[in-house]
Amino acid sequence: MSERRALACAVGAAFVLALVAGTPSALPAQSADSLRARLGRVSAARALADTTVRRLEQERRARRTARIRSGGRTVAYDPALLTPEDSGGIAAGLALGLDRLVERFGEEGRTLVDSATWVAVGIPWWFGQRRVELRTATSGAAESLHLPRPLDPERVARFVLQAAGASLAPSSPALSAWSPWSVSLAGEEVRFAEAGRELALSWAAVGRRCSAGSALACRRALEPVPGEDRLGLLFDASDWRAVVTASPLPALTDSIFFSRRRACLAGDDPACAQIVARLTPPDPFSGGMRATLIMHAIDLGGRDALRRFRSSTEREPVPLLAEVAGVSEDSLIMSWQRRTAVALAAERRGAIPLSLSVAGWTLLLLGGATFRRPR
Amino acid sequence: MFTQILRTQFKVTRTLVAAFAVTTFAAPALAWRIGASGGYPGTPSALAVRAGFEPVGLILMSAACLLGFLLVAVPWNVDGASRHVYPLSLPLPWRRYVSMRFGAGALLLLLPVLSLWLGALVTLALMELPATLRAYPGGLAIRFGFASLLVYAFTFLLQYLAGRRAPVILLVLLIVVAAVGVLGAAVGAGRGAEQFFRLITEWPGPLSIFAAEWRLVDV
Repeated sequence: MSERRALACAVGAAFVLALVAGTPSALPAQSADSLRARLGRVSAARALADTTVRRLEQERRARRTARIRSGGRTVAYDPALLTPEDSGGIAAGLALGLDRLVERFGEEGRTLVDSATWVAVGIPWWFGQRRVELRTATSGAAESLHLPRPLDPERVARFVLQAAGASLAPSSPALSAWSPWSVSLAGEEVRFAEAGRELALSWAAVGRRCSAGSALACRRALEPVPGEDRLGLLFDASDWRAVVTASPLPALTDSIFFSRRRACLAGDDPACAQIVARLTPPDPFSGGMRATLIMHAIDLGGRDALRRFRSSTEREPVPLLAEVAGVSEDSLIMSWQRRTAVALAAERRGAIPLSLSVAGWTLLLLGGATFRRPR
Repeated sequence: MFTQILRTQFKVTRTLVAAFAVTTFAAPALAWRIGASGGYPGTPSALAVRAGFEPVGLILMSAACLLGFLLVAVPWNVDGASRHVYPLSLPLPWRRYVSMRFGAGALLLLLPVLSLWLGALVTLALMELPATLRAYPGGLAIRFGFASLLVYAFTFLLQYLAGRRAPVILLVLLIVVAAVGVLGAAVGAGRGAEQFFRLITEWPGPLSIFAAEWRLVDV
């Protein structure tokens, strides 16, 4: 189904729902506030549909107009909306990004963006300004980036690396469901720090143990776990209240469950133990955290990582990534855990330079204050 | 002479400093009270504890700005009421007097900083932190101290250079900063405005201390 048709269906469904929910029999039970809120939601959906239709129209026009050619790739754009400087910035950034892929993975690096289509559109920004939105889509992933003018080729190049990474996980049956989040090849340590933070603050005991350095816990946190096994494998008794809070609820008619749930949330641990077995907790770890393991494996694998990734027949994510990295599974997981810890620690640093800069500014301001007597 | 100036400064600002010392002492507990309200009973999770202390940053940033500003404005107004007879009658060169006055005010800033540190230690002693979290009472107190010192130094510069015209100049400065952001973007210089704000809020810019993380508890 095309994007426009899907959107039309969604908006149509929203209207139908609004009409059905707003039948005369339902009206007396609703307050003016809830009706106003519903009207607001429908209006928001309509506004979103209008904006998207305009954007799609712009893209359609772009596809049949001008082309930027760089490094064997073409970017479609509408010359009425982008200036020659914009297209020059895109061409330079595209070439820079492709060079970096070749530098890192050899000629195989280029193939990561072989199937990608690229479109550049001008989008309205604040105060009548226009920004450039660069979009790319491969068979399994789509990425977009807003760029302020004048375009910085460095940012476009980073976007190319991001787009190249985005095509990796969807192309592998072992990874596509396991980590649907985008993989970036632009070396973003901040994402490793986020993964480290996610582990340390996890509501699953396994995540917290992994953060503390347990390789076994990290492996368990990273491997795919079926929903029905999650409770036993990822959580312990201290997490039950969180499990009860986060899990989908059974039918509303189950009054015994709901009375125990209330007791559990009020601090009654035996009540939690009674109901927790009936729940299927959602996955406590994000695809973003898992995507960092793919990024780490590719970094470890070096120039041959891509070749190994494509030739592997492995069906499980961790063994596949160990093969890509060219190391053992335990070594991959432990080095990933260390990297997340180091990235997190690096974010904490900076107090001393900050204090020194403030001290410097203070002295400068004091010097200024003693400069002359006020009148 | 410095002791005398410090004594005068203390006399004029003691109520203000005491009020801020009480506020900063209570800030961690107050933040926890605000941030953790509505949570479930029992031992809170690491995520809940971190989120519970979230308001402490906002409370302390506001307190630092207000403290730094008032610690200059209040003594200046007291001096102004007597037409600055006291500083002008001292047997000191202007430059030396201003430095001593600055030092006296900066020294008094230490009281709310110490009070914050103690308040944070007391609050943390009353609760059990999850194993994956760490407390940063010293780091937060130092950050608060430097932020108030910076605001104090800026207000001091403005007040001692511009005298009675300081409020007007402060207003003009605020308008200029807002104009750079709003008008800069309106006339198509959005990138320039963005670079300007990055310059002042990223290290080693003067406002980088306010853009940094202000957390009592973190991973």
